[in-house]
Amino acid sequence: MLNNMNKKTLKKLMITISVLGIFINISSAFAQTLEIEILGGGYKLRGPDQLTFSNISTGFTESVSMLNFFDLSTTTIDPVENPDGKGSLIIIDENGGSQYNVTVTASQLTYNVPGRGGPVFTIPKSSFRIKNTDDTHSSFDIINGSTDDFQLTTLNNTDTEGFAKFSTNDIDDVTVTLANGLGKAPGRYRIYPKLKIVIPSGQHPGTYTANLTFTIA
Amino acid sequence: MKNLKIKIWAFALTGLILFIPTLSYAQKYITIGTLDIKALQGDQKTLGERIEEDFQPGKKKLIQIQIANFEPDTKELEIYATDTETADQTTFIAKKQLDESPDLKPWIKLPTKFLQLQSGETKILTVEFNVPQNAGIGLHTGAIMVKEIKKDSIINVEKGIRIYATIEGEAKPASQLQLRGVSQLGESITTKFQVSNLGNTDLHSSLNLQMKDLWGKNINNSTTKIYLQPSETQTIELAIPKPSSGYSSLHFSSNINNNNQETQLFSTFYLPTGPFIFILLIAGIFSLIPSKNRRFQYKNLQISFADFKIFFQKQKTHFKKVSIFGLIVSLSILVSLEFNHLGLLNLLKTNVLQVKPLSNYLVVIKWGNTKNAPLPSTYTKNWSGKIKFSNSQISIQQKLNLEANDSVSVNTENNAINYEIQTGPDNDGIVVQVESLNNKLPLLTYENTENQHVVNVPITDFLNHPIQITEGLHTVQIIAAPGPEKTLNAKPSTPTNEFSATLDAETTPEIGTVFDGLDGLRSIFNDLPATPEVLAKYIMDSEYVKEKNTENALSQIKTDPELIAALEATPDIIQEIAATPNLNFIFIPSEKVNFPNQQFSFESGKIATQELGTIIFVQNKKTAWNSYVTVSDLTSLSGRNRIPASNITVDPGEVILLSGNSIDENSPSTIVPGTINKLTNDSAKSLLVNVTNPDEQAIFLMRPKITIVIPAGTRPGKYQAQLNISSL
Repeated sequence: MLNNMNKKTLKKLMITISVLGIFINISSAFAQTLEIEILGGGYKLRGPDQLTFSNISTGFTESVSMLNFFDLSTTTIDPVENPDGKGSLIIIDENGGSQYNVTVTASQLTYNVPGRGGPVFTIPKSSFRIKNTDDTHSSFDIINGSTDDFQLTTLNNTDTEGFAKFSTNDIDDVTVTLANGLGKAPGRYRIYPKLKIVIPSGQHPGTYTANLTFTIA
Repeated sequence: MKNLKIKIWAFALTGLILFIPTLSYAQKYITIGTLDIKALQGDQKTLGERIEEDFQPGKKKLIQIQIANFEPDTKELEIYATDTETADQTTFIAKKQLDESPDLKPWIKLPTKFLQLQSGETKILTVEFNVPQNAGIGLHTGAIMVKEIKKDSIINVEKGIRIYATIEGEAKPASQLQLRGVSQLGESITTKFQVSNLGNTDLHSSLNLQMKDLWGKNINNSTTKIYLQPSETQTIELAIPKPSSGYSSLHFSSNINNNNQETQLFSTFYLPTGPFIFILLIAGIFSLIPSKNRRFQYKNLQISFADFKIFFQKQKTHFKKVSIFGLIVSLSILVSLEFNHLGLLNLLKTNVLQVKPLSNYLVVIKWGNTKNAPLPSTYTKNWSGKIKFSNSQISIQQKLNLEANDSVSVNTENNAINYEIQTGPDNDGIVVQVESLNNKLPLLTYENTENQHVVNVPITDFLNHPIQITEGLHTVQIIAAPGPEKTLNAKPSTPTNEFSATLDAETTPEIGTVFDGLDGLRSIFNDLPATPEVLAKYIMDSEYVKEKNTENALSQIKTDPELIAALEATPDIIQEIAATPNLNFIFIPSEKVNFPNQQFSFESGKIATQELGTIIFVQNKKTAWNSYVTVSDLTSLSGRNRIPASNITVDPGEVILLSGNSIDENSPSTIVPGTINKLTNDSAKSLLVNVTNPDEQAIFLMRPKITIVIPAGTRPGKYQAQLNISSL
């Protein structure tokens, strides 16, 4: 009996030794570090290159003209970003590292009367307004990314319909913040702004133009 | 990129009557043509028309270039780096793709040689500039060229970006030019020059050999151009046809570092063969024509034979004179022919170039199985005896692989070594410094007390070329090299452009086989020891060896990649470093393996491939073994993001044998590389090499490649992984 136990113990010991032997023969060399850097592509904005309001007749009463980005037919280089061919403001964060804001400013709507040289007629800045949603889009769409990483901002200095004015006193410009990103991860988002122009009564007929400047930073 | 502001201008128009679009958007093409290449410079990555950077020797720098295709069709592009032919203030001309470009091109590592750009596509490439340790101070110019590959077109379109690379520092040009020999064998005179760049700037020069006649008119000339980086040495041979006859002089000129120098090497007078034969004929004819007085008697000769006999006796003395004269002329012709073909200069040279003893030698003596005879590992051989160096004083500099039972000592007169080696054959050896006494040539006497074997040999017989003294299956190998005062990079006393055209330069023996292929090592070490054994220790003690660890019959040496690259060319040195029996060695690059940067993309995954660098294996063990790698997941520095190891593929590449047995399958020893293997997880092993039936030392290298597939949308940032090389 004792001999049998000794044999079993010996077998176990031999197994242990043989297993140990395998481990001893492995030599681990120094580790090398592999490193690769993925470069962020930065922030990008894509949107229609021109916005055209529908014509409106002047009169001695105040009138309003509106424009939905979504109502514009447009295309981008990447069909993934704009599968429906509809207008929007596409916000792209290819860094995913820092918070950012999307803002917009506007210059004054002016009408250059041909042959007179220089601007003659203007529409007050406070009459030019924007909001970050339209009647059919109450929020943004995600192309890539997470809903937790992007949000539309609550606009300040809004009128009764929720449009923020590009100026409150017709002199100073107001920068309207449309959205902000938390920058936790790269992402692509679509927002659908809507523009509004309140045309004062008795406004001189003509073609009025202004520049909208969208900024992501 | 955080401060980047991207603006979109939109034109909003409101009106009562008309809409007039005032501006339409147009793609802005920055340059002419449909191919554009620019450098991204500064933190803001502004586009630049040229790469203008300051570099430091031995440092790396990453520079991004942007290549854009403005053509409606896809472009196939080939990218290459090149030096410039001229790069002055008015002209900047890049060398052709296949031209030799030894200056800036070797610094530049392009991430790819070929590129495909879709219409309107722009790609950013990260170019790695690896500045060598011996990069010359000053401006280096070159270009990165992008060539359109158009199979059916006879027009090649190339566009490039200039590179102005400046190595900062105080320029101290210095050089040494030595005449190393002149020979006149055959139909030409061949001169051998050795040019050394002893300064810290690049050396550009042309060397010109010119044969002039008595009036200084050029007869023949031969010119070559040289380019040397700091601490490089090059031996140049210039050959010029021999002149046909007459006086001529051989001139040598150079313009090293814009310092024009000309010197007359020698002048000589070649005797023409043809005129001498003519003179001989004329002399013979004149000697045979009698004087006027004898002419009458000559006529009488025809009368009777007796008269002829009388005449012959009288003319005997005259014929003797003619014969002697003819003999002298013939000898003169023979001498002149020999003079022309063998060259008097060779004789002169032989006289002058008789090797004077050096004052100092380093001698390496090894007792061992240098024949690699198949002996059982338990077999040992005992040696005992004396090695004497007459005319000299010696000291032991280093002991190689000697064990406790081995004894080597210098006698009291300091001119002999008494040895008793008991643990051979395992490449026991010593390095001995031998200083010659009284300017006499040291003479080695080897004595084996066991078999009374004695060998006498002057030190010059094994200077730079080993001799082997056979003792049965074993050998004692002895080799000498110039001592420390003759180290390769010994600086001259005056660090200026030095021209040394005296034949005395030949008294310094040329560096021979011991130093073959040391250019790489010479570029990273200032002063190389004169023998492989000392050099091996010198290397292992240098800062280029980062870590060394020996366990379980494997010695792992983590070294600077530059050193590995230099060792590639010197298997002898690797052998010395890894001379321990039954211990395998792996030389692993110490530097981080940097993959080319990849641009973030939402849509497409990216594939990055990078060599791990050169890994040198030294197989000394007699048992089968293998080596494999494991790679961890790639993790971003923040730790939040991860690229799994299963996205990694290991390509072991081929085995390149530097010395030892073949990779032939029929050979008893086989060294077989692993196959391309995609890892399944971070603990998966990928075989690099499998060695079976090793029966002799083998040195081989591998350059494994790692490929990482980066999924689309992988968050930007730096990712790191640990790669382990193990041996079993």
